[in-house]
Amino acid sequence: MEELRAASVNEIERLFKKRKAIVAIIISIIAIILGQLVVVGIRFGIGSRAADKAEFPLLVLFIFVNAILPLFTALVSIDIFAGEFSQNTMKIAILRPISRLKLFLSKIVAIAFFVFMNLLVVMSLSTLIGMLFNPGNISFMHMLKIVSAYLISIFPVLTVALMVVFLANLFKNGTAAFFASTIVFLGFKVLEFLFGSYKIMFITSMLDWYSRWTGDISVQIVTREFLIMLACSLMAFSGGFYLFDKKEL
Amino acid sequence: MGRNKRFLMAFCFCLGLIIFVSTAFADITNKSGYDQLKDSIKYTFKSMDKHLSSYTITTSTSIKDNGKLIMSSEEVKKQSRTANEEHNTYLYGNTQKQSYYYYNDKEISVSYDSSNDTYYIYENSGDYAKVEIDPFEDSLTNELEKLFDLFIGNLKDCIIYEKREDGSKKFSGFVDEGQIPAIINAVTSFEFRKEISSRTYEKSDVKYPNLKDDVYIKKLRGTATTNKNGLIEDVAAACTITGKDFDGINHDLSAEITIKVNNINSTRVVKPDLAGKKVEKTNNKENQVSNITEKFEGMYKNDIVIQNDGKYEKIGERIVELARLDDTNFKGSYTEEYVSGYEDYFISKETFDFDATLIDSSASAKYTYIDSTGSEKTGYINFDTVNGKIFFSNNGSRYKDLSFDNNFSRVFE
Repeated sequence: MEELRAASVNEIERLFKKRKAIVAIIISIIAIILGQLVVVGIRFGIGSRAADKAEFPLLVLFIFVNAILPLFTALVSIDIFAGEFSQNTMKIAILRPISRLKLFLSKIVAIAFFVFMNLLVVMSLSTLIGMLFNPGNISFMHMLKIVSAYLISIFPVLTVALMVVFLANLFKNGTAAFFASTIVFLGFKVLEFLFGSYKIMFITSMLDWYSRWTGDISVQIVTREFLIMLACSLMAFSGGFYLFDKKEL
Repeated sequence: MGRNKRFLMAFCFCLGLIIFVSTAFADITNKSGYDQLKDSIKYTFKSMDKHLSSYTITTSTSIKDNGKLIMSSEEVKKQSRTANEEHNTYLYGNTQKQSYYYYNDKEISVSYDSSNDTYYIYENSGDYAKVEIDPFEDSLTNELEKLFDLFIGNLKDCIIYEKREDGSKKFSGFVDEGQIPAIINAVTSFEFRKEISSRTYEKSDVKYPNLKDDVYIKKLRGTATTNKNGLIEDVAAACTITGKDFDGINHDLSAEITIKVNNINSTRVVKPDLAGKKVEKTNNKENQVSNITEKFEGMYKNDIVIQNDGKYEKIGERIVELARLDDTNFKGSYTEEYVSGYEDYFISKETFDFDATLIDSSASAKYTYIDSTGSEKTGYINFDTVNGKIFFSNNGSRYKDLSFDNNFSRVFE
């Protein structure tokens, strides 16, 4: 356990030393500011409320979790695996006195930490900006709703990340892995639209999973979607680790 | 790789696969309330067009502003295999009442005008075709349906249903302000604002408020009941939209609608008894295409106008004269005349006589003429039977710096 913790901290440090993670967070901030400008534009342009204080962070989350976050999570996940192979630093990592499973896990932990941090930054900022520039009022209940929506979003994003990790281990080349991830992602989005009644089979339809937890929660739907995420995570994790373990230096 | 580890990985993978397949299967075989409701709607439309011999639809709506009634309506539509009728009453504000009545079968159509208490009767051709109302017959609707599905997104999950013992279903949905995605809110409230701003000038004692800003959907709720065959019998929906007007006063506009389908296969549409009523027989001769050659005999003019130093100036006119030959033929002439001082514009002035023949029974005619170079050309005349003007085309303008349109007005002596 101690080994895993140390390895994870090490991975996280290395991740944030790279520019990608910082760029991701900066772009997220720009997205929030643009979102707010659009909302203000709508309000003054067509007189529609569009989003009030309590809604703005959720509006940002919707866009963020459906497009921006998966993109950066994929970039970071690929970098953490395929990047190591291409830069030949994987040798150093593998030769450390730590089992491959723990090494693999520590990388996953680092990705999860990145997702969590990114969500946290976006949540704080969008709430702050939303409070400053939007009408309506925000109560403790609203705050609770926002926090839980952001936290719940970790699940689907992490499932997507695990699938990307599987692809990154399948293609040793980072560019190929990223290309494949993008194709799969867009393909899923299209299929989801074309075959609406089968959309549960496409993990991308669950990125805005938080929205199922507002209003009348349908236990059936939430449970099913959770199971699908669990199943995809299990398959992607075991598949990804199998490939990672098999790798020869 | 150790054997144990490999087994564990394989086990994890298979477990994932099993969970995935079984859950996906469960979800796909279990239709959501939203999909079932859509199926019921489609089935209802289809039945009305194809299977039911008769039915009655009663629709009532009301729109209130902060609890004050702006308008309410009651519409009763009856449809059988051989006839249909409508009784509609509208109340605007507290005083303005309007009612309409309409009946239609293979022999006659009757419509009632409440303003002068008169029944107008039109003769029909003797065969009656039921009007198809099913929008899903059209492939465009199915595309729109997909877009709509995408647009409302996860609001679909708000529709729940219960199945009763006799096989009938009850659907219900309730959406609160926080649940409506911002994009839907923005689009809907924008459309809504456009819609009511055009109604703020209506002449009733209670008007629609002119909402300026902070418009959003406050709540939506709806219920629908189907009978055991899946036919929708009852729909009730209510929606509240709120916003501020130009004085900053807050308005809650609430709209309610109920639709009932009843007397299925037992509706009788009865021909109205017009004995002792004020009746006017009309035929559509007024707007019919007839006596054109007689009506349109005369002279028509079209001014040629240019812009000179930021002012418009008339530099000439084009004149068409029509003379009747018989019911379908005209004899005519076309000339161009200039105002003195503008001769330079009319280097290739055109003047010709022509013979025009009406095309079938339409309000247009085709003519042939010999142009200035000696070759035969054709042109068209369209007759505006409402305003008594003509539209005379002869290959447009032949002058590079002149343009004229083809609307000729009658010159009345």
